[in-house]
Amino acid sequence: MAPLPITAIALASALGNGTGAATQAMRHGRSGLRRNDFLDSALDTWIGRVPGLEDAPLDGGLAHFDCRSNRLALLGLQQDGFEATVVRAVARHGARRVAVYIGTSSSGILEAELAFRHRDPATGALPAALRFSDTYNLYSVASFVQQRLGLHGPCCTVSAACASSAKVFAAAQRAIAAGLCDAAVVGGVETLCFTTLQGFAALELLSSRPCRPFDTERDGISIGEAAAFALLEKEGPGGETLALLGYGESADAFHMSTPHPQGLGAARAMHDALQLAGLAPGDVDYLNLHGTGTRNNDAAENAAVCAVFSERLACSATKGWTGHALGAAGAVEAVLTLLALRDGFVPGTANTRHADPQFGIRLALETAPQPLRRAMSNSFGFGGSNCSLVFGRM
Amino acid sequence: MRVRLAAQAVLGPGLPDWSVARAVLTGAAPYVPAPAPEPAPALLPATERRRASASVRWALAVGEQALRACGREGAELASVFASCGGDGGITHQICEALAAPPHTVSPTRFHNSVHNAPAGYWSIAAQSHASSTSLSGYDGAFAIGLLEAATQATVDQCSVLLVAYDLPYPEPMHALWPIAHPFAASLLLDPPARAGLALDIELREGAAREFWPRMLPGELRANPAARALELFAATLRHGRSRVELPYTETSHIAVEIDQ
Repeated sequence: MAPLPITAIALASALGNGTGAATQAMRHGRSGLRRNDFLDSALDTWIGRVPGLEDAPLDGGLAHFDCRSNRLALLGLQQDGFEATVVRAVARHGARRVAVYIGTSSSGILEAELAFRHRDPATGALPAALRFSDTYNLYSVASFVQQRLGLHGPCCTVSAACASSAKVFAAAQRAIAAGLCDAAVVGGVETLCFTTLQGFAALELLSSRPCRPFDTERDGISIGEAAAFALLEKEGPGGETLALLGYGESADAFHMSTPHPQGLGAARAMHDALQLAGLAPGDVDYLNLHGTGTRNNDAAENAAVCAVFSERLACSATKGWTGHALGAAGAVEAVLTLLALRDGFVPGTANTRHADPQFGIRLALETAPQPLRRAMSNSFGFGGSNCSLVFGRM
Repeated sequence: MRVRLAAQAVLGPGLPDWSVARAVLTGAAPYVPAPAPEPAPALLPATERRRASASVRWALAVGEQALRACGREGAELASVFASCGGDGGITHQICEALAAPPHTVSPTRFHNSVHNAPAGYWSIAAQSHASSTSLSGYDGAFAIGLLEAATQATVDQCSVLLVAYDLPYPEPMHALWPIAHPFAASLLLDPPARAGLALDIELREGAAREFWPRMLPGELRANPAARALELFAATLRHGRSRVELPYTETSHIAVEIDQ
C-alpha cells in the first residue's frame, strides 16, 4: 500500500492529558498505575485510571451522550490540538469526506452495570438514565465522536476485543483506498468498568501488583482506561509527516481467551503487515509489544516475534505505564509508537525488572533516546483477534 | 463500488432458510408466521457449541448456510460480523451477577461477552486464520457491515463473508430496545472481476427510503439485521432494481442491482 499520512495524534490516559504528559512520564519513569480505587470496586489490583471523569458531565447539545466512556472520548479529542487539526482537514476535504472509526470493547457497559443496581423493586425496570443508543450501545462512542466533530462521512464502531482500535487503522485505510472518504478520525476509547475488572479476575488474569510484562515474575494484567486518536489523510498539508505504512489482521482459530501457544496468528499478522508495507523484518527499528503481563500471552508473543524478527530488534511493552486499555489499547500503543518515532526514543517496559531469560526478544527496560525510522505495534485479543500496524515517516 | 453476490442465507421467524425466504419474497409461497428453528451450527465442535452463546449460534448458522449454498470453504475467507445489540442475554446475566453479592462473573460468560465472540467461534469452526472484523451500529448495523465487506472485497480483491445478526434482549433491557424477533442473515461477496450478480454500492446523503417487502411482518423490520431482506428482495426482481439501507441518521447505503 502507499504510505498514508497521519496528521494529528491525541491521547488521554493514566499518564495524564496529552501526548507530552505521556512522553514526560515515560522519560522520568513514572507509571500511571495506582492501587484500585475505581468507584466501590474491592478487587486487590492496580489500575490506570483517568482522574476527574466522575466530575466532568457532558453538557450542551450532546448532553444526551453523557456517560464515562463519552466523557473520556471528549477529553481525548481535546488534547494535542487534535480538534483544531480536524477542523482544518474538514476545510480541505469536506465533512462528508471525513470518516470516524472507533475501537472499543465495552463502550457504555458501565452505565448498564450501575443501572442494574437500581432496578425498580416492584417491576424490575431499569432507571430512565440508561439510554440504549446514546450511552449503552457500542456504537454510542463512534456516534458521539462523529457529532462532536461535525463529521458526516462513514462512521463505525469496531469491537474485536483488545485488537479493536488497532483494526480501525486498517478499516480507515481501506475506506480511503476505496474512495469512500479522503480522511478518517480513528481511535480507541475504553473506560474502567466492573465487567472487565471482575471478568479478568474470574479468569485469574488480574495481577495484584502493577503488571510486569515479560518479567520472570509476571502474574497478570493491570486494567487501564484511555482515549487515543489519530487523523489519517489521503493527502496531508505538505512537509514531512508520520505515516501508516502497513497492517496485518489475522485470527488464531484456537481458543476464545487463550492465545495460540506458538503465536501462529500473531506471527501471521506481523508478517502480513510487513508484506503490505513492502518491508523486510530488518527495516523495522522498534516493536511495541502487545505485552499484557500474563504468563501465556507474553510467552506466545515472544514465540511469534522470534519467528518473524531477528533478536536485534528493540522491543518494549508499555502497559506497565498506562494499564491495559483493552479496546483502546491498539490506539494508545499506536500513539505511543508514533511518539517514539517522532521524538526518537524507545519507551521502557515499566515495572519489569528481570526479563524472562527463556525469551529471545530484546526487551528495553528503561526509556532511552534512539532515532527510529520505522516501528510496529502489536495488538492481540480474545477470540484470537490479531492486528499489527507498521508506522514510519513520509 | 461494485461487488458480486455469490450466496445469501437467512434465519428468522417464518424464514428458516434462503429457499423459504426466496419463495416468500418472489410471491411463490405465502409468509407463514412461525418461530425460527433453533440454530445448530454443524462446524462448531461439540465442546465449543456447549460454551457458545445464542448470538454465536445464530451467526454461525447463517454463515454455514451461505457457504453450503455456494459450495465454498471458510478456511481462507475474510469475514465481517455486524450487530447492533450484540448478545443482550450475556450482558443481562453479567449485569445481574455484578449487581448482587458476591459481585463475581463466570469466566466463560465473560469471554463470551466480547462483541467478536461470533468471529472468534467462527474462526475456530471454519479453521480460518484470515482477517475478521466485528462491527456495531444502531439501525444501520447491516449497512455498516455491508459497506465494510464490500470495501474489503474491492480493495483487497478477495471474497468476504458478511454475517449480520440481532436478537431481542431479555427484560428489563428489552424495554430499552424493544425488538420483537431474532434475525440473522449472511452474504458471500466476491470481488468485481468474478461472475455473479453485480451489486453497486454507494454511501449517499439523506435518510433511507423504505423498501420493506409488503409480504413480511412490519415488526420484523425493527431488527437491524432484517434489513438484509430489503436487499434480498431487490436481488429477486427482474431488470434494474434499487434499495436504500439506513446507515447513520443522515445517510444511507444505496445498492443498485442489474440483471
